Amino acid sequence: MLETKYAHFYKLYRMTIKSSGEKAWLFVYPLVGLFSIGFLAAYLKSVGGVLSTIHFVLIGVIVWSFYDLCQKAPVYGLLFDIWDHCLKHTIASPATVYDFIIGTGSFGLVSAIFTSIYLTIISIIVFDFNIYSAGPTAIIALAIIFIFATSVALSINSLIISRDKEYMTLTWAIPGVIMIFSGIYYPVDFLPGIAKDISYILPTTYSIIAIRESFGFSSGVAHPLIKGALISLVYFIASIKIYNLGIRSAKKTGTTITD
Amino acid sequence: MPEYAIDLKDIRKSYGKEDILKGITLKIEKNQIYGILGPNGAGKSTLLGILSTLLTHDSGTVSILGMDPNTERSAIAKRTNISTGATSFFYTFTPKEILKYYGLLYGIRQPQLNNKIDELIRDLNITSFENQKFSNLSTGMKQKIALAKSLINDPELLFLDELTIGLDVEVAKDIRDYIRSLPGKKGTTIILTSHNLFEIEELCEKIAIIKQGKIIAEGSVRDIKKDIQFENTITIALYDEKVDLAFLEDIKGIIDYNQSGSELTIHTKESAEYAEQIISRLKEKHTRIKGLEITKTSLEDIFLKITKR
Repeated sequence: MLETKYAHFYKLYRMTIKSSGEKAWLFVYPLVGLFSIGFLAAYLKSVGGVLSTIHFVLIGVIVWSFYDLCQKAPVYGLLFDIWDHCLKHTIASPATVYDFIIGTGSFGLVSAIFTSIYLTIISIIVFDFNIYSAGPTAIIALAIIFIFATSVALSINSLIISRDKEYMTLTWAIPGVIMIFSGIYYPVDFLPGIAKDISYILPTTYSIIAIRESFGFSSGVAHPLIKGALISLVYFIASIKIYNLGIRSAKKTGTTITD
Repeated sequence: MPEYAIDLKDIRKSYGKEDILKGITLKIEKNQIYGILGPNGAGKSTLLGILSTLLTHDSGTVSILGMDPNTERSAIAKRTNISTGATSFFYTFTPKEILKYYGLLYGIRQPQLNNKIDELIRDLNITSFENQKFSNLSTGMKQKIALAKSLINDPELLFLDELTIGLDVEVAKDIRDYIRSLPGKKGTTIILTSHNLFEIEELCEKIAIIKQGKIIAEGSVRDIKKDIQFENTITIALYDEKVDLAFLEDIKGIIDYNQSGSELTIHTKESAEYAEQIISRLKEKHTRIKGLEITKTSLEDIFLKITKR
């Protein structure tokens, strides 16, 4: 049923329309990232750096805003229910886990596309850089990031619903950790020892490498899009299983009736 | 053969080492209002959680509208709904938005959804508040929204948990009247839990009393009164606190009695006949009587008696 999927999209949409805090996630934070990092790179260029440095970090900024919004939607889809103490009504409804994933995931994707487009427009005007000039590579890379971000969100949700609401902190902490290992502002080869190994199990690393290769930054990684897509699919399938287990555990331990 | 909305056989549920339900067996016929009572911690919320598919049970068999919640959860949820007391929804949403969200979650298509929302808003007198934020509404209005939400899918089976808790008399009566009309009007079976025993007695055809995870009484209020053998309470106010009440043991039909200060409380099968005998025996003992009250035993009396056993 489309309605049950749309319900989750509708909830997130209305929440965003009504809350200035939610609108800030779409309009303020991504812009702060774009300008602060973009101007930092522009400054470095002015003191002897190269033009490509600006493009290198702007790819990271735009991709990261995309990840952030894709991950946020499914987690907030659950947190709004918890914060407003009505989780039991959603769980008692006929909507399934798949309705939830498709509904909240769609909202994440739409908001991420919207933000990446206006960030791109601003970056063309201010920094003369268009990430979408990478063509289909950029689109596939962002699709991989969407799938991975949704997987991370579902895993966080599983912890929140089955263990403790305190795990909601991961919503804001995990993107920062993934950012460090994915080479948002530097090539992952620059990372030391085990950190570099970790970066290669993250689909985000491959997506960013693929987009950067389109702009002439070589990485030495073969077929990054294929590798990223395969890893993200594995994470996605695992995360659905983990989320289902989380709900099953919550129904067993009684956390579903204590909102 | 009666049709059952709920058919439970030996349901058990524990949280860790704590046993919450210890073998609940219960059948609830369709198209009636059924009350579940019990002291705090008796297992009412857990039982309601299992029936509304919010919780899974550890063992036993559960049939809800003829379906197994382990394998047909979504199909059950489509035909049931739940409302809880002191409920909360999205603070910034208006009643219309709340009803639209839950209507969509229950898979109701347009234009039926908008028609249903308008009908509920009209029937429950929410019209003048339909565009206000939920957080700005009074407790009574919030409870009406909760009831409207629970009726959005025209459920065959409705779970109402402490729906009128904390409401003023007028709103509680409005809600009770609406609930009372549902089985006749829509064929809804309602499972009701409440701490308000007056409400349960007024609304429910049958009740189950749960204590420590077990059903300790089940049936109509009248049958339970008969089972525990007291139907009336005689309260006598005396001038003297020191009265020898041993004679009460000789009067057949007196179930029990107790004296608290100068007040004597006696439970009997029939009231008038025994009151007369008791008064004449007290007079024989030159005991002066300040006042006398005969009351039919309420559900509260039964509840207190059964749960203190």
